[in-house]
Amino acid sequence: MDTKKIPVIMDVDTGIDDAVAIILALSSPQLDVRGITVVAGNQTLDKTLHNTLSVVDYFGRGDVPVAAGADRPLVKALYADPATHGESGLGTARLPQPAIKPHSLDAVSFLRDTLEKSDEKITLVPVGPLTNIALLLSCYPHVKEKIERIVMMGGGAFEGNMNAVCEFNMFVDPEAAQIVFDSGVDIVMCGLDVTMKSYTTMEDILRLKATGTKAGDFCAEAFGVYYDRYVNNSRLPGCAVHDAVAVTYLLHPEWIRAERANVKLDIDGRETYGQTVCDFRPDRDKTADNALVCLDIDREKFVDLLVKACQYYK
Amino acid sequence: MNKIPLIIDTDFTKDDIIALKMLADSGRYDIKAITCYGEWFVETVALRNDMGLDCPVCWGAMKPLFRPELSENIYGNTSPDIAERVRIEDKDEQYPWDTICTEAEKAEGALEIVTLGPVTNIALTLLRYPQIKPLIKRIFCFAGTGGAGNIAPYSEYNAYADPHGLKMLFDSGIEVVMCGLDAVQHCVMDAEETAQVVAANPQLKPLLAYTMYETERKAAAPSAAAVCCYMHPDAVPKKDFYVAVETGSPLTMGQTVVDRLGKYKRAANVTVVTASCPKIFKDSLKSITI
Repeated sequence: MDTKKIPVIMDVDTGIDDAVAIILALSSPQLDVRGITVVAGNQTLDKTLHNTLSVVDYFGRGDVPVAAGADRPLVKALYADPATHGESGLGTARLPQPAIKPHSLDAVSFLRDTLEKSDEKITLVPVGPLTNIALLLSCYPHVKEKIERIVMMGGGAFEGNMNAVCEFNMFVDPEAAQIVFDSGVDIVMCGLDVTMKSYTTMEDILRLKATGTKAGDFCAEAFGVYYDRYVNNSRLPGCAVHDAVAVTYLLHPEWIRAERANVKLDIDGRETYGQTVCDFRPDRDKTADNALVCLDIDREKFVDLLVKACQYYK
Repeated sequence: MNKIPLIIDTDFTKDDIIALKMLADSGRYDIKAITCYGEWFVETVALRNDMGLDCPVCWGAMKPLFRPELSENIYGNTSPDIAERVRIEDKDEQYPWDTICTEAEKAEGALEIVTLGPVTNIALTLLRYPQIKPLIKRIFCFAGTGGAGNIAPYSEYNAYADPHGLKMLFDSGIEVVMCGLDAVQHCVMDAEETAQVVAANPQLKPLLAYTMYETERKAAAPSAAAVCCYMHPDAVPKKDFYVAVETGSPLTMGQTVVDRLGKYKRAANVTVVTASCPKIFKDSLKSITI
């Protein structure tokens, strides 16, 4: 099989599920990860950067550039989530000190330069707050023509987790998200509608561990407290691996049911601030559609893919 | 069985005409008044006379509490071919809030209210006579949505038209039942069902909304479908939730935010109808006299 690799740049706030998304992306022969940019979100930037460097190095891909980005949202103060991701951001998992250093360029400059220099279009895969991407698109709009599309984790058409209508990444930086949704770049939105269906049960986690690889061990350890929190606080029988869904969409869009919509970010609401307002109405102006909104997934296949990704790190 | 003392608030959309007939036809309600929102007072009086009801029709608010008036009603108005034209009577000279207050006191806690349009008249009643809140047994609203909207992506027309009024009702402490667009979607009829209904009851044809979002021809009468849920409470699933109403954002104005997952940790303020009863609805459409 000689399919061309998809060139991607990930944007992460590592984070337990970000780490799994990176593990999945770096394991795939279908993806050419040109770099990873980092943003504050699940934890403060110093921690998300450290975690990203640690994960990339520990899983043997110190060649992938990691660039540090925004340490705070565009307008709001940073809201991190140590209750879910732990003080370190990776739960109770401990990785060796990374031997690699961050790229000399900041995230936005790295994105700009990499896109400018690329002969082919690159897919951006942001799975954290959209601060870096919003700054890129606002300050250097000429690079839009080099962006294939944005495949993101964030938002939710009919579901929230910070409140009834707002998802964490949108909650952290709604203004940035509004810029991205209004940018004209085509978006695949992997929001809570699909990611809350992309969970791993304890049985699944034991399958990851049973691969006997360092990735399997890492996932099992990192999922510990994260799993408990999900099972205790949500209606799920496992923990949602949100960020890995965006990578899964790139690899296997056929496993995911999605619908086109016109998506706008609400930044004015008293009750709906940060909501991804997805217009599916059949009588809408479909020429204004800017996103494919993912709604459902074949969960068994998703879990099998995570197991396969862990096996890669033998 | 005692009839339920009832006041119906309407903006006289086409489907409201069906809803009013359903309520009147059933014989189960003692209709104390019909209160009008907007400019369709005269037509409502004519309909009242035509139906042989002897309750007053009260002309109320012409615009929402705070928001500007909307130019077009998404559900559509019509001036029906009513035999007996307007005969406005002395009893029609009351304002809704005054009539509702009087009837609430007379009914001694048994009065129910059904709203079919923007809820401004009821909100004004609660502002004018807050003391009658404990005397209103239940307010059943065709308004809002727990899912997709019609006038905006997540906003239903009646909620969008007067979101502040709806919020006042929700936060009033009165038992409020919200039967929204997501619930009555189950009562949208496909072409075949529509044909059956129209064959059984040809007069209905101009009152059905040939609707709204589907490319294929479907028909609906949303407020009548909601009233059907009101009339058959045991046939529809309901659940108590905290429901907020957006009043700030142009993008989500009037969105009824249903806190299904309990994220707000606030006490439930609304009983939300989560599905409607399409079979009962279609049978009623076939049998009512228009």
